[in-house]
Amino acid sequence: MTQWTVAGIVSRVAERVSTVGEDFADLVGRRSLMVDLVAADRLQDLFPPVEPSPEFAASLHRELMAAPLLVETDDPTTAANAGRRILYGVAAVGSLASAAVVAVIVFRSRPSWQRPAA
Amino acid sequence: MVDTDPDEVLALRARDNREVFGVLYERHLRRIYNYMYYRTGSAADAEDLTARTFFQALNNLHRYQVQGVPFSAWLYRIAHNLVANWHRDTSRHRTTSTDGLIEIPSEGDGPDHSATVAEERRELHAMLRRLPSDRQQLLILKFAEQMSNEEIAIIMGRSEGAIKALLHRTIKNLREEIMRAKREGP
Repeated sequence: MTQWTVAGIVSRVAERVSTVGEDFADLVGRRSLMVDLVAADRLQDLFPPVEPSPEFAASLHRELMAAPLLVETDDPTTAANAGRRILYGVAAVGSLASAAVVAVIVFRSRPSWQRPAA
Repeated sequence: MVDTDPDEVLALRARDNREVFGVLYERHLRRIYNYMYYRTGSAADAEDLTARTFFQALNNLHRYQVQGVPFSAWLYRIAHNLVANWHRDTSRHRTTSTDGLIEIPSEGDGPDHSATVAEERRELHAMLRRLPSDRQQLLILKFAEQMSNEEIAIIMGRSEGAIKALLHRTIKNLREEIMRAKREGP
């Protein structure tokens, strides 16, 4: 490796390091809120509490008190797992089918003298 | 003394007593609305999904088991499933639903600074919206609802260690995203 090649590599690395430094300095300067919030994990400042309007709260309360009880058949907290259960079921059936096919192939590939007499 | 009873006791009594459900509603309305507001970025959608959460809770109270999860966690799970479906149904509008987010102007720094703060806040919310759904949920439960990792773990059905690790990764990614946005420029 020549002296000029080494010098070129060092130059490129130095340029890259200085660019990153400028970016970060610029970032801190121009985007102080974002950097401060995220760097200090003070992200709660990004989510000031919001409240529903009193009209909405009162209206929903009235509707809930007056609503007829509809007993749902699907548990909303487990509905998301239903698809997974179906997937597991299909996978289990597929595994059994594969095992059966392998068993048949093995049985048929045995020499005739090993097979039970017809 | 209904007002001082724990949620779990009230949840059992609320199966036969709508007034008791009203007490649970009053206790949890603000937090569920807050959660929905930051998951959707829209007051109208937050109201709609909050209402649906409480109706589903009311209609499924008979399924709630005290020995399982705390009532609040059960309620948040319902809310999460509803908002996940909502995001699926409206996915093409997801990145444009940041309108209406409340801005908190900083005090005493003048209108120019307030506008900058508001703009940065909007940008950061837009970045949050681009995160995967589970990471958005995590950040909102942690920083908007101010829950402990243990509470979040129950709601999200993961271990406390997994939540801690995911939180660390998410904040790290957010920092990288800010750097990337800066490099790419306005």
